[in-house]
Amino acid sequence: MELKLRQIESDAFELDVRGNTCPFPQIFTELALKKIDRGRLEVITDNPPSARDLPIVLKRRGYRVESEKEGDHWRIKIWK
Amino acid sequence: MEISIDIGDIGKFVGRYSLGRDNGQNSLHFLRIKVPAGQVDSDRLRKIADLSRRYGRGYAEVTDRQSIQLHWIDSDNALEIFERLYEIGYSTDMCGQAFSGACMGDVRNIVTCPLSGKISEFDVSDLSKKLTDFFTGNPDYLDLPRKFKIAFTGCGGDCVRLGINDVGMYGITHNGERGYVPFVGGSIGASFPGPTLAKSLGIFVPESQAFEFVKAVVEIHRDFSSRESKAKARFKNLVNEWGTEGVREEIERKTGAEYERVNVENPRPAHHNGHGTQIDGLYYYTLPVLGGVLSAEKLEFIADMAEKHGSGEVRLTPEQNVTFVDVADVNALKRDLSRIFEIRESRLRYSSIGCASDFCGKTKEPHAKEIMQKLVDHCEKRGIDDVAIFVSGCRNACGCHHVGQLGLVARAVKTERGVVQGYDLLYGGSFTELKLAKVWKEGLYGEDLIREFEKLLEVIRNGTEAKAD
Repeated sequence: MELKLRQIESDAFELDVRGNTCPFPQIFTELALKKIDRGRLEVITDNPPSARDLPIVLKRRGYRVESEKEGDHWRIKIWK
Repeated sequence: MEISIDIGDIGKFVGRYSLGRDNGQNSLHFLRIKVPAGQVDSDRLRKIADLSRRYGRGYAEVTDRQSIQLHWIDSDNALEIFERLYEIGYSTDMCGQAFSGACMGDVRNIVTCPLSGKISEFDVSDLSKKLTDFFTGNPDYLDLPRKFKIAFTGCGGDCVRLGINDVGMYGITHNGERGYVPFVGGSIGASFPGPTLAKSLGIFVPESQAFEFVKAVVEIHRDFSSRESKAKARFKNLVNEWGTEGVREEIERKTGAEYERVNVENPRPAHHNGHGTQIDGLYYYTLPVLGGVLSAEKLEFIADMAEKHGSGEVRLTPEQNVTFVDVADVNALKRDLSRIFEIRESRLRYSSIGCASDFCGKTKEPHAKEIMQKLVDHCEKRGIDDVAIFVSGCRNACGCHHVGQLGLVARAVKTERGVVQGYDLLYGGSFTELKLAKVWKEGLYGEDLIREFEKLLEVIRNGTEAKAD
């Protein structure tokens, strides 16, 4: 399995983890954050428990996080 | 620009492990550990006890699909937990039911007669484990329209609730040959077309062809069950649309086999409570565990007792109990067990089921297990112990209320004091007779619930249910 971090702006990246159940969206987000020095990571998940948990976990770690529903998935924006 | 992320060793966990969503008792996640065929040795039992103690506040439940469920799991510990499970060869349910669409369904733990190979030569557990190995982590079967439930029995009766499974394989010996009569399309949850009990396909599948048969049925579900919506995506909906004849034709087309027609409409009832003699002259003993509630300490104690009195193996049962096998002296085992367990061997204690609605958050107090305990106590105070009570916290029917002799399902009730947790009371269900329960009274709570339960008990004990219909 390969994960791709897509650059969507000069300082913003997108990680699509749709189809993954909890806790993999969280685990993959943490791997992606390690790849980014600074900027914004946007994580797309369609797993409701992960959409609930990711902002909680990331805020606990000191990140600024915003989450919005886009149709059948969530876009979770994380600033590093 | 794209940057590749190497997930390294984590890849071995993808498609094999998941955490489920809790929303009660301050638990956010549960871990449902699949125990293949419900058979677990003392070493693995101790390792699960260790997981429970380290990560799950020392709590553990036996589920009615012979899994062990832990709660209060912190997702930060998930990889450590998965590694420990990986080392002992265990996986978990994939918990794809949280997705809003008809997708990511997996094959759930295959329910298997807890006395496979012990009371008859027909050991169905080998096939159950082989299928578990085949489906676990297999990418071709991880995105079913919805979950898929399989059950096997080979003891001559139905000890596994075949009728509430997507495919229930009823083991029989036919003209001297071992094989199965399949029942298809069971599921008692609320999804379309509502609570449904499986129907016999009226065919005999020889043991040697059963693996391919089950694989074909799962593939038919994968390829033909509706993906239009989650509510329409269970296999029962397809069976309802196609009819058993249509399902049988498609299976035969797919496998290339033409199965012999047999006339078996209902399985025979069976249970393995109390103790009995195995074919090798040793004994089995089933310990009643009301609601399947155990702890790390109790799991370790069970492991110790399995080693001391038997072969070190126990079997988890679909009624959430624990069966010790290969026991030399049942009385000595029971004496030892009574140091930790209060042993009351009644149908009431062996067969009553309560779901984990306190953890999933579908109920407020009194939760499903609390109501079950309260009604069990109530029955015992009146000297009644030959009934079974099945309690579900919601219409998803995890407590199997639709097939309970006495069933309860939670419902919020508006009162002058606000909304309270009520329950609908049902009666007359039977999974072996493939009979759904009927509603006795809806929206009961407090003393009214006890009063109506009391009345219903009286009717059942007098055998006057028919008049009540």
